[in-house]
Amino acid sequence: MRRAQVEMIGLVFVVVIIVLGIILYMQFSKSKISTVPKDIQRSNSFLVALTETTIPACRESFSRVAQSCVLNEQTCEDPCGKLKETMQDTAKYGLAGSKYSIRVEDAGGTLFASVEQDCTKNAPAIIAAPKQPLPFGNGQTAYLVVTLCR
Amino acid sequence: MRGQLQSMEPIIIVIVLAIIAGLSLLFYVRISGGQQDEEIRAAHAQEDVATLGRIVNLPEFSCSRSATTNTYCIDKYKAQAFGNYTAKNTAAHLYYYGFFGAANVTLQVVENGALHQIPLYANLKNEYVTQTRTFFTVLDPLTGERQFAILIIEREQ
Repeated sequence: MRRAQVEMIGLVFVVVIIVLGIILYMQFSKSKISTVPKDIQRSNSFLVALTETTIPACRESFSRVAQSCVLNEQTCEDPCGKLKETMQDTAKYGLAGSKYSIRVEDAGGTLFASVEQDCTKNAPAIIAAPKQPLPFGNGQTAYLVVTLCR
Repeated sequence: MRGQLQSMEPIIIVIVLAIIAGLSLLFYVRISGGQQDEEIRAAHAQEDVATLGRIVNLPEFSCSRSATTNTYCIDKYKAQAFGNYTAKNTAAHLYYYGFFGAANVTLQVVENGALHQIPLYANLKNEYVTQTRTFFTVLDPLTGERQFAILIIEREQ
């Protein structure tokens, strides 16, 4: 091989390395690694606050009304509907500008109440918030789940 | 032509090396900058929870009748009174500087589907601020109801 040919091959290698570098850079710059801790804190505190919130129409906490909804008890009129209203009101102000899904479900995944904003159950989530257990005191437990979507 | 290429060779090599070095530097700055942002946000999140903990333990805010089984209990009317007091009283504003620091602290309460704003402490003139939000509940001692609330802390960027 002539020297000029070897140099050309070297140059091609360098160009390939540069292109690879640019591709890698663009790929990493797209990832939103900085939002995660903020979202963990946000979804956790949202879950805890929501379970403690009193639903005025029932004069009971969210977790107690969830129990009524799941066990079909009549502590107030339409407990599942009241849960949904409360989730809508709190998410409207608490999670404004985010894509979210809030669900009350049992251990088997049966859905009792839910609200969604551009975020379905199986959509790619920013952070899978731990489920907030809502124990009923009889061995049964329902779960409140908040999912924040991309 | 070949002669020209050979004479340009060192220059081309230097340019290529400079581009590689520039890209590496850009990559490094991007990654380390992202990590730094991440750390700042994590620190702010921790500071918010700490501020909420401090507020809850202040007699100026704590519930007089208890709901002690719940982690955080702030009396809504005490919070309103506190906000009015520090806004009008310069000495009180200065006194609580050590507590809240350079920040605007606001409480938003969701009541019957509407949002009520309760400013607790305002100490920022700069309009370029970062805002963090922490959720908890406040107690309305008249009805005994706990209302969904958002603690908003604004700091300078």
